[in-house]
Amino acid sequence: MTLYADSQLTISSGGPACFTLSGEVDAWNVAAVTETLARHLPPGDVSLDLSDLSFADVETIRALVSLADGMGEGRRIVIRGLPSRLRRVLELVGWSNLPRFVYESGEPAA
Amino acid sequence: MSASRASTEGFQHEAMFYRGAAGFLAGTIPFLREGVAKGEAILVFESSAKIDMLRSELGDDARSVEFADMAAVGANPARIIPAWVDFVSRHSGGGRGMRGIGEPIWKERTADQLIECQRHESLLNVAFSNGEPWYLLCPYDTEALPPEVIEEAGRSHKYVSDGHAHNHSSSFRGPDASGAPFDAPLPEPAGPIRELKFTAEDLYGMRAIVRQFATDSVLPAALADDLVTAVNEVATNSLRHGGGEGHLRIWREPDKVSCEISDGGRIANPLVDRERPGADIRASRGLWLANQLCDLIQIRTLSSGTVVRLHMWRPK
Repeated sequence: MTLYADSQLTISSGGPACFTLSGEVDAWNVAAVTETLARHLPPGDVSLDLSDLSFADVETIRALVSLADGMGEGRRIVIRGLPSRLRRVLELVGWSNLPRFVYESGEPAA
Repeated sequence: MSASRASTEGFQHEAMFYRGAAGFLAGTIPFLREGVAKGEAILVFESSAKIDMLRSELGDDARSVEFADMAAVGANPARIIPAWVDFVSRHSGGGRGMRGIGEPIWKERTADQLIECQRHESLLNVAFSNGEPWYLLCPYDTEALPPEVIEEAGRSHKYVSDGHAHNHSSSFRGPDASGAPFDAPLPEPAGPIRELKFTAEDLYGMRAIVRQFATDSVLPAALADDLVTAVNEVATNSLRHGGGEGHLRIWREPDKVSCEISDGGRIANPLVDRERPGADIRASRGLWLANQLCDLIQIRTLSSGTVVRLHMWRPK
């Protein structure tokens, strides 16, 4: 089910706690992304599939961290398909070990 | 000062002028041996050829010295200060003295690199003047470098030496003025320039333009992606801190692809692009990231606003 779409990004849900981001997130649409995700957050951990996320800026990561911080104690964002480009950015800005992020299938940020 | 080096004051930043390999060794070896004798932490950023020379001259003492290739560490000179900050923070408070050798300027540096290396030398005073005491010796090859580079070294260093006598530099601009000696406009690029004004809704198209331009300029895809990421971060800074809009210019020169972002904002912190981001998630990371991704970044705050140039070398 499509939860959000604009000219450069689609957010769809593949289950109650699983979201897929396809396309590009930047300063123009990052607020809409976090609003959409916040509106559909279930209790417990959330899974984000980023394998088709072709671009995301530093602010996007920051927004996802804020979203996770707002989810409450002990809840995490499980990231699937972290693109190598985004992994490189996380590493370079010192965000390899963000406490709220878990990487699926043994793919840590660094 | 005289031939004996005081090490009790704060940051001792000294330009050491030398001629040839013999002069280089005459100025550096006693400095390193003194540090070894005092049990100090010692780090040397030099070319691999000079590291080989130092190692062989030092013999067993070389084991007490850490070496790293300046061609790698200082490929982008804005990455050198963070490396020194890491060194100082690793060793401060341990009761040991600290000293280092760093030679960021050599004759093959391009004009853009040279001016940023000179800015780096000056910014070292801003980064370390109020912190832990340590001693940094910066060798300058007077045979290879033009006289104006040697003169600027006098302005950016509190001390100058010829390897024997150490003196206060009468032309030193002082730590307070070291942050802003480079607010002169950058030279206008030669050749055709592609340009566009942007707001947030233009970022997507702007990335596509930069990527296409970079690939057309035979930058490999990974480097083109790095440039796109860096340009996007700098442009996002314009949207957030520079009045919500900015101006992009992009051009190519024989050796590089360059992008320039200008906006109406002002940058107050001269170390803004070389302070490793801390744990605070809100801390700005855009310019830091740009420096890790690009070969050279030039930042100028002028009366008209801020200009940031990002350069990527084309493969030879």
